[in-house]
Amino acid sequence: MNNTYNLAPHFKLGNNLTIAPYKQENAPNVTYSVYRAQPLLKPYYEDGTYAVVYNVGNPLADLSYSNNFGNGIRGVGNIFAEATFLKSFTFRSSLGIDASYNKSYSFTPAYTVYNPDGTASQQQNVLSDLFKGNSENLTWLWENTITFNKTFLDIHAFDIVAGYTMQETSSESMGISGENVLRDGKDFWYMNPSYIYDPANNVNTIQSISNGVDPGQYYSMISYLFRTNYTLNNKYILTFTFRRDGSSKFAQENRFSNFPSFAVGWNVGNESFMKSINFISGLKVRGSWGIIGNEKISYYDRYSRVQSDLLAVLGNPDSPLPAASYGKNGNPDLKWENTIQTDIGVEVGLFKNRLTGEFDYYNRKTDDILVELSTPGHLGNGQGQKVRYNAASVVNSGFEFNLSLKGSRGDVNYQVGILGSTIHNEVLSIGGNNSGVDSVLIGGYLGDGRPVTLSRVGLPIGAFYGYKTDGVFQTTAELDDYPHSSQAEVGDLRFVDVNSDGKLDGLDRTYIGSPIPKFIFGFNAEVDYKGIDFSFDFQGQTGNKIFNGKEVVRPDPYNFENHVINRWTGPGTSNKEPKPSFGGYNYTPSDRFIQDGSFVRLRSMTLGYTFPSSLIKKEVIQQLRIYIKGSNLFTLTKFTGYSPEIGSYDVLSNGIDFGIYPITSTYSFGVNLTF
Amino acid sequence: MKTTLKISILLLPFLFITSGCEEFLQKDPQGELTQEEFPVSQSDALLATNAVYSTIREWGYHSGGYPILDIMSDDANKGSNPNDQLPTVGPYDKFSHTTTQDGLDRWWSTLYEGIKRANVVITKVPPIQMDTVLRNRYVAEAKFLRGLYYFDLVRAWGGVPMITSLNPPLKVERSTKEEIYDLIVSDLLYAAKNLVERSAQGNEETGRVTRGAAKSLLAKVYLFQGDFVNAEKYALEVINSDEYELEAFFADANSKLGEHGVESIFEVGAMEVEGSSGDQYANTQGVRGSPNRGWGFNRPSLDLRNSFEPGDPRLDATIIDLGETLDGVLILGDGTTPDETLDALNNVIEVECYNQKVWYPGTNTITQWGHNRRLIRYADVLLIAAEALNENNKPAEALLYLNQVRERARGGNISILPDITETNKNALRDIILNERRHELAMEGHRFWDLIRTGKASSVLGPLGFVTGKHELLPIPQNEIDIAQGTLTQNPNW
Repeated sequence: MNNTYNLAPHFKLGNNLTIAPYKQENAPNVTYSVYRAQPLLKPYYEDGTYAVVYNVGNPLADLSYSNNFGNGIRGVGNIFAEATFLKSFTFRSSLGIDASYNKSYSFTPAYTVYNPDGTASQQQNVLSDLFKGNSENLTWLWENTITFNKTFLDIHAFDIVAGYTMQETSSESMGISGENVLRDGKDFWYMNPSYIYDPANNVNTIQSISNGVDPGQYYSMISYLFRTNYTLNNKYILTFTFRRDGSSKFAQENRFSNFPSFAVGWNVGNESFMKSINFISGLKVRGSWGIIGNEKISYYDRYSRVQSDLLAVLGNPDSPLPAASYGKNGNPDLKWENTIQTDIGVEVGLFKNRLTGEFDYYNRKTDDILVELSTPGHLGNGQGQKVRYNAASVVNSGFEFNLSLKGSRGDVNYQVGILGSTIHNEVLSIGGNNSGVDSVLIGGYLGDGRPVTLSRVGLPIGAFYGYKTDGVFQTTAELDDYPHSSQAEVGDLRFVDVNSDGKLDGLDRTYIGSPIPKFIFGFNAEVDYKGIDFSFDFQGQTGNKIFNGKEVVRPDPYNFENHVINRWTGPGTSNKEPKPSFGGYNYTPSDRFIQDGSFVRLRSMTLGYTFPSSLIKKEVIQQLRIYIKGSNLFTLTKFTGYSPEIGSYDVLSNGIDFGIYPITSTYSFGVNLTF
Repeated sequence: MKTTLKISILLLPFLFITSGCEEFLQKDPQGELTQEEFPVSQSDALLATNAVYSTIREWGYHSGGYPILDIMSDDANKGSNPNDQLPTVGPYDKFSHTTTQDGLDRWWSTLYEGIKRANVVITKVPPIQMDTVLRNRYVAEAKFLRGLYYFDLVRAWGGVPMITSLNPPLKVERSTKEEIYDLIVSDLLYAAKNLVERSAQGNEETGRVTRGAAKSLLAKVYLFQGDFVNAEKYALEVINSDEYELEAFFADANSKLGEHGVESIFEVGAMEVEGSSGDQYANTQGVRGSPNRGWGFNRPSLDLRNSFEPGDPRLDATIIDLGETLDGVLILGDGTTPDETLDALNNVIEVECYNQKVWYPGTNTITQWGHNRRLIRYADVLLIAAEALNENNKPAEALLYLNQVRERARGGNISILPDITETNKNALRDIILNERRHELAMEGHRFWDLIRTGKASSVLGPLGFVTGKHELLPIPQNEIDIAQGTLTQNPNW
């Protein structure tokens, strides 16, 4: 709903409002269970009950017994007032609100999956579990700007904006969980203390109540902004921008940061000397430099907080007593992450803009990257706890291009486009004043706590780190002939003694690949002929590696990736695939688990037909088009996992496949109607 | 619209720009205290002291989660079904574990987290205005627990970073073994002085550290250092305090009936809850399959079974065999675990059985979480006294206490477990070591007893123990990596 009211010649009010309810069901990610399960087992017994899947749990039972829902409503709206005065000045003030209310609930019944002999397997839920929670979020943003817009002497065009904004985001959530609900049905999914209880001991089994704010949604910001845009004769463009932002997430000394930027552009195509060159229909040269900031951290990362959910069990009989102590350290020196961007580019149009191209060189240097790091155990933060630091400086640079050709032959109109970007990523420095960080960043922790990335100066950030392999020890003689770990046996992998010190130990781990592609590209095309339109869009990347994390962590021996078929079984049988083992030495992080992550994916393909105007009633319908569309139709890749688009958990944990859910191809059929 | 009204509406925002900027951008933690504000009162001191106890109930406190100490010793095998945790826990069984082995990091981190919580009390409670006796007691409890945590660290890894204050530097070198032992001794001496005896505690305080617990642990610490004079001194002080006795029935030393009983000097309180107020220690070793009490790790070995003297009832009370009925529950075991495991020559090398010392009445996993692990019990103190007295050339007195343990085990049956009369120091030393094995089997003592008495090479060598390497666990590789050279790894790892 958008409305604007002109209340007076120079004054108007307006408002926008969008309301969106949603409802979703969350299923547990059973991809990793399915990957590990023994493939020959039948999921059901003859009587239809769930069959045991050893050590992993029956994923169908997991899915069926999980009832995890969320629903909510979100409203985004704003009101604004705008007044013009002195002909060229406009003052605008707007207040925007983004509010949402969410409910989540989850119920797992008591169930048991049985072994074939009738005994209970390890997959069971002794008492039913119920969780009810709700949360609300509110963000308000108040923006005030004064704009000056005037062209002097017909050629000097000024567009100046000054502004001040304030923003606050707050949230609160509450949740209760309990065990042993009286009945399984949906009608009883309420926290009624009389029906969530343990009949044997006659005690209420509402186990935990939680209430607090959402740590990512509790902050405020103040910004000052200023922008000047000067265009001379439509040919030369100069822009200067300055922002000063302050965020509550940082301590007072580091709260505000300045973000200037500067851009120039030269519309060469409008120059008089270009008028005679007919085949060049447009030519623009541009360059820019600027700083932007990032503060996407939890509001409490800088505080060292007290952990209050501890319990001591003391007394006779044993009773739980409240306890509280220091939680993990906070980092009070956190500050803004800055990215300095430089961009130089050319835009060209040829043959009346039938062929257009953009070419850019970019360089983005990010300083004080905000990332969570593991701390030494003796600090007492607890296992696996991470603390946020401004840890490193990283540069991303390269060339980008975007070419597009359109034209027509008779009744056929076509457009093709190709785009690409090279990426060079390198860590420039690690640590720095007061950052608390030393000389390397360790990350990419697998499920069992082993890290697989190590970032240091000169390498890409999140670079993979492990042993290099060089064949398989075929005989005892070969084994004795080369430095090896005490666990290595004949038929196991040979790890390279990288530092040539005659010993095979932790110092022989090295850089084994980068998760960051060297080149990303896309190709798209669109053709239409007499009302039929056909378009497709390819996307891909190359030069990046994927770490097959799901294969390295080996909890059980029931299923292996099929390359294991060609395993070593005796001298000369394989120099690539070691003898099979259930975890252990051959499952140490090494380049055995590094795969090429390059891929080309058909992102979408659409075939449509627009009915000719002669066939439809103009009075009622102006245009009617039907189409079929497919998304993610096929992928060309050498990666053996479910999808090569792995994504990243954080900048140090990028490109690691933990058992990613396969991407779905979707096919849709649609109708466009214009009235 | 009137111009003045328009202009005044437009100018309103500017009023806000200058005011309230500072406060608007100050977002303090919601519903949580910061460390600067805690502890400041007497009730805070109690909360902080209670927190030091919560570590002993964490899964990672118990040798990193899985009972690797007994598994490394000749008393037990990995357990559970053959495939379960074979790559993570299995290697400990054959001494093929590495610096990245599962559990090392967890144990190290959990112990240091406990030490941090103790340091909060030790450094922050003394300045609080509160009752002096209570204050000293809280600090004493924290010091005992800190000593307990460092005792595990120094026995498992040797010299470790010594952390006695809050916010230590990111890089701390390893102290020597001797320096850590000195800290433990000074902590325990303070605790012994400022704590009360168990009989002075009311029911509400049962389970909190006592003077007797501090002295018992002190005796053990001195024993491990080879200071038999002090080990004798403190063990006898505990014995002569008359605060403790042996349970009438051997099984009650570890059973539900014996919880907070006469023999228990320090135990881990736990409730029958699958979660925070329970303890997963017993669930990890609980009977697997039918009844489903847990995962079945720490399976008593044939070697342990065969080492008992003929008729020793402690064998039956230590091992749950298939077909037994305990507390009315028939033990059938796990379908995926072979009842007997045979080697290539058809010899039986493993029999499916479970640790009876963690048995808790019940038929499901939830009740198994209620078992209270006995960290220090009176029988252990008697045997420490016997060992120290023997080393101090007082065999007659040593036999007195040694035979008390055997008498209880005998349970009135005079035809078994005859009193020991040996007075030759070396022979008696071996007898006492064996008695420790039979009395304290499956309670996490055997591995370190073998190391400190120099018997590890001969007894564990056949199992893969390498002298000069396996006396200590390797420092977790993650810690070595993060320390960037400040921590040196243990020899031959």
